[in-house]
Amino acid sequence: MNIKEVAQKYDLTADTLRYYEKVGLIPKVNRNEVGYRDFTEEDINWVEFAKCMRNAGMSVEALSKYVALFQKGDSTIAERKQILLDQQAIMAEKLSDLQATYKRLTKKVDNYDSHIAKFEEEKLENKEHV
Amino acid sequence: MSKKIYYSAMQHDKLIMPWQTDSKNILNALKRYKGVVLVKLMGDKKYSLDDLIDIGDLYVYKQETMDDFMNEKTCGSIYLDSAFTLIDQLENYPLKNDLGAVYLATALAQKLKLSKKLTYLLIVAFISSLNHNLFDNIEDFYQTDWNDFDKRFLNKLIEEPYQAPNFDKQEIKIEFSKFTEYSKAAKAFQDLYQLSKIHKIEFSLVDLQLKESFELIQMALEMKSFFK
Repeated sequence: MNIKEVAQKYDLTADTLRYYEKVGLIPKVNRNEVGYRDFTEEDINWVEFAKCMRNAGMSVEALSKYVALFQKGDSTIAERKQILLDQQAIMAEKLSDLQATYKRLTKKVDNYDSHIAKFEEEKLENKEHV
Repeated sequence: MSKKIYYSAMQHDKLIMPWQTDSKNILNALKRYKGVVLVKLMGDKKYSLDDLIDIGDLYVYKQETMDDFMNEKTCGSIYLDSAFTLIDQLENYPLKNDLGAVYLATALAQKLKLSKKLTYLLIVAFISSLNHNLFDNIEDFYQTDWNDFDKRFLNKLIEEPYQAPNFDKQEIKIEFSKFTEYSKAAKAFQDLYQLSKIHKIEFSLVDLQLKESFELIQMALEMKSFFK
């Protein structure tokens, strides 16, 4: 697949794909005989992974380090796992923050519901008095 | 091969403006937004921009801001030590407020990992180029560990013109390993001279030579507005 096709498939731009490759978020992409990028299945899997991790907030530094270690082979498995564990911990913290905010928001909405119900009840009572 | 250069800026992995040959809009974006990355695309001008995006050379310059620089570990930094020593020394001379210039030169020296001697020499040369009244007192800034070459190097640096030479023919590069660091310092000086004109119409990104200087565009813009 050429760069435009890959960009379209993952709703990215060709510039973003070049950037991913340049800063090491994906390994060097295969080239065809005239020098244009020709993404293999493996290259495409890396694009999908990079997009997913970046959307989740993984830093350029951590992700490029992970990719570089991956390319060094099995001797780096423990180090790679640690990067993913660190990322998991960061995401768990974000999730916990989000959950706390969600809980607070739900409580606030419930409060509004009881206020509205009370207001409607009073309105009805006033009408009956008239 | 005749080359064409495009610039743009990226934020959150995406271009925030179209590729362009003029750098003015890029500077405005770097002035306005934080966390922006400067990108340069270069290649043979016979190719369309679409093709160059695939096969051209892409350069990514992550910007260092003044906050980044000041928040780094400053205690015991040979770079800031040189800056502070010089700031104290400069108080003895009638100068315009050049603290921003001192910090910018220090940041570039740090990025280039210059030695303490060449860091101090670079800052002195840059401040002198902005304050010609220091020329008469340049010997006051010679250090005891300088040899004759260091003194001649400083005097050569502050001799006009300050900009990098323009090559209209194929450039022939000869490097003498003994002078690599001096050559780096000379290029840094020429780039600092260009960065000092960043708010002026004649400034162009094309005139910068070192990758590290491209990474200091945002800081140079900040320095200009903080230390007016």
